[in-house]
Amino acid sequence: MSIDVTSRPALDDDRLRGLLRAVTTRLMEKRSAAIAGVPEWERLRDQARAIKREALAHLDRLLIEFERRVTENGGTVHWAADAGEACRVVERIAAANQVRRVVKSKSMMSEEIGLNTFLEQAGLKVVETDFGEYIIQVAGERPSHIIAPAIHKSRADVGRLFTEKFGTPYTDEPGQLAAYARGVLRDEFCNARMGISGANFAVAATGTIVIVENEGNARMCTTLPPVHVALMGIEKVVPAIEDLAVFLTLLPRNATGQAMTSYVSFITGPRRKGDRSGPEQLHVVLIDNGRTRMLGDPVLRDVLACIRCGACQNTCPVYRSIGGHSYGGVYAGPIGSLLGPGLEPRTSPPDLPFVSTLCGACADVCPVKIDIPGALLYLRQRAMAGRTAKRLPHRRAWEIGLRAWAFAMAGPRRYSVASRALRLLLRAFARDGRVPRLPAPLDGWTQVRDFPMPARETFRQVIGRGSNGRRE
Amino acid sequence: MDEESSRDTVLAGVRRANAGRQAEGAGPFAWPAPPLSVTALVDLFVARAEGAQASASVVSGFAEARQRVAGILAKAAVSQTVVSDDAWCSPWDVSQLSRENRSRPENDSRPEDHSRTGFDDGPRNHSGSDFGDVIASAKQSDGSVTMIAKASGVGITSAAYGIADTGTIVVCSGEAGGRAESLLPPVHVALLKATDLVPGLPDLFAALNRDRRFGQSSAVTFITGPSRTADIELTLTIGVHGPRQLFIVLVKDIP
Repeated sequence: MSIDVTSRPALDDDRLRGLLRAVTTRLMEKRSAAIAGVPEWERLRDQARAIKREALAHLDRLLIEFERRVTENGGTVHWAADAGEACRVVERIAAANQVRRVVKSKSMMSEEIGLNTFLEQAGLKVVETDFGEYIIQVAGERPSHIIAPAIHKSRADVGRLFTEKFGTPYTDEPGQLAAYARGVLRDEFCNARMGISGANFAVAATGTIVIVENEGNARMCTTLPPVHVALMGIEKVVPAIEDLAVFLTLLPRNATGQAMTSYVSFITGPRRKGDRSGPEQLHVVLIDNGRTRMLGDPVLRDVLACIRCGACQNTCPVYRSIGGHSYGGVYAGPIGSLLGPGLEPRTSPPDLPFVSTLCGACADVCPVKIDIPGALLYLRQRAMAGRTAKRLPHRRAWEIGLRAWAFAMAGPRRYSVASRALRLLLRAFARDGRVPRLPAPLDGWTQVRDFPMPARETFRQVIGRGSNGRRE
Repeated sequence: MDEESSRDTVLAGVRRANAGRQAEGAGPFAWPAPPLSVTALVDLFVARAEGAQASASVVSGFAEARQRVAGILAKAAVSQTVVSDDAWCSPWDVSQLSRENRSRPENDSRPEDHSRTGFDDGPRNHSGSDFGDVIASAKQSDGSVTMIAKASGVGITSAAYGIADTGTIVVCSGEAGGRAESLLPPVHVALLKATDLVPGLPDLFAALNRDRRFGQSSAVTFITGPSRTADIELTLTIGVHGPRQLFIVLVKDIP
């Protein structure tokens, strides 16, 4: 389905847009304050990008080294080429350990492979334990933001949801709602036989997986159940533990404006002999699911450097207006418009790369300096040239429009005539200095907002009068 | 498809994708010079830890550290406290806590001038001077520690390192503190030597490597303030899942 259609509910929902605007603005303010204390910030971004590029260039070697270290430390490494394989690996581990109940900490990878649905169909009970993910699971929805999955829910939404689903007295006080979830999930942690987590980073030299969080639920999931399964994309591996000094300076500040999150867990193998807590088994599932295809693409391979901080979503004027669900995939926002076509080219909405103003705000905040607008342009070219082009909405209008634009821009006289003609055309549809509705095929623009009337005089007319400028 | 062939498929795909690509080296990163004096590190650590909603107090010597812990326990007034192995044993010797406290009169003078915390010991509202049960993980059988930690109001562990720049403590499973004791009780008390403070992340990873922590500990955990969430409208809520309160007792002047 095209974004034109999927974004309509969000665009008609003023309350949602207000919520998105408030939360993302606050996140960006916190980010700015946090990075102000790091004078080497720009150099760190360059370093992070360089580390990721180097790691991706040596990915085969790093993955093999990581596998060896995990194994040496008593863990087990599994490989999965696609989502289906990854799900079956997890199901097999569950079956081998007579697991009926699973607790999960936040993992975008599990969303990507559709793990919860798969395991539930296999008869397992799967409980999300991150507070935001728990809300989303109870509501039967999908996360709409990489780090704030329930960003689209107001406190009143969550209050009503809990009352409806659990019969608890209504409250919209976040502390009380969190306390209720804490109580329910405490028991789940202690009764579950398997904990599933994602991984923010993996370190080849030590065989360590790194999990960044604030609530402590990931620590619970990776400490209490006897079996821990960590899901990770193959692009998460970095060479050395020292590299994390760079990434852990960048990630929390860029994501939530914290100098450090409450917890960062470095997990190296299952519990050691003599340890009195920690899981008996550690399974790490290395998942490709489209990543080697992206790696082979000259532009999209850079996108694999993404560390999932969510800052590009917070700063994107489009994301802030249409919200995460409008993007129709697992990942939303600017990075989602690249990961969607990169990871799921067949199911990704064909107009995803076009859902951007190319303003570049996303590239400015990206901690690993991914050229997001450049990659979006690349995908647009590919979309217009490729087989999916006919699925693009308004494709014919685009082509005619662009051809007309190219013609008009080719000479000063043409440009002058065209801009005057356009002004006359717009005046014909204007009401009170604005254009509330344009005719087809331009009507898409005015479906959700007015088109402003151009200024009375063109720029060239003002300059040409010479009152304030020089004419050469 | 079996996993062995998936491994081959993925690795072959990676090699094909990378064929003919030159690898650019990242090179070392020049971090800014950190503050070096212990006093400066202590001040920075306390400020940053409290900025992250932890309570950090600076004490002199192990005996004073135990007194400080006694004050925290008395205030917490819980019926059960769990202590990880390393904190129980010397030099912290938290095992003496109950005895010391019982023999101490009410309202004895504590070294308030060293107290750097927003945590107020306040008037003792705790009747009697017992802390309830203080249980050592070391004396428990495998597997029961989790249940004990779950039933405990306070967990006491040591921390292997502290990061001044972020007010973070680093708890290593195994030798230096268990995974469950610092996680399940609603109050976590962490004991940290001032000499184990490092300025920032680069120094910490150098120390972790030097001490071979990743070979020894299945879990090295950075802890910065209490558990928190902001998943509803970015409203900060303290104490979801993990501890609500984190007390850090930072010990100077160790002979």
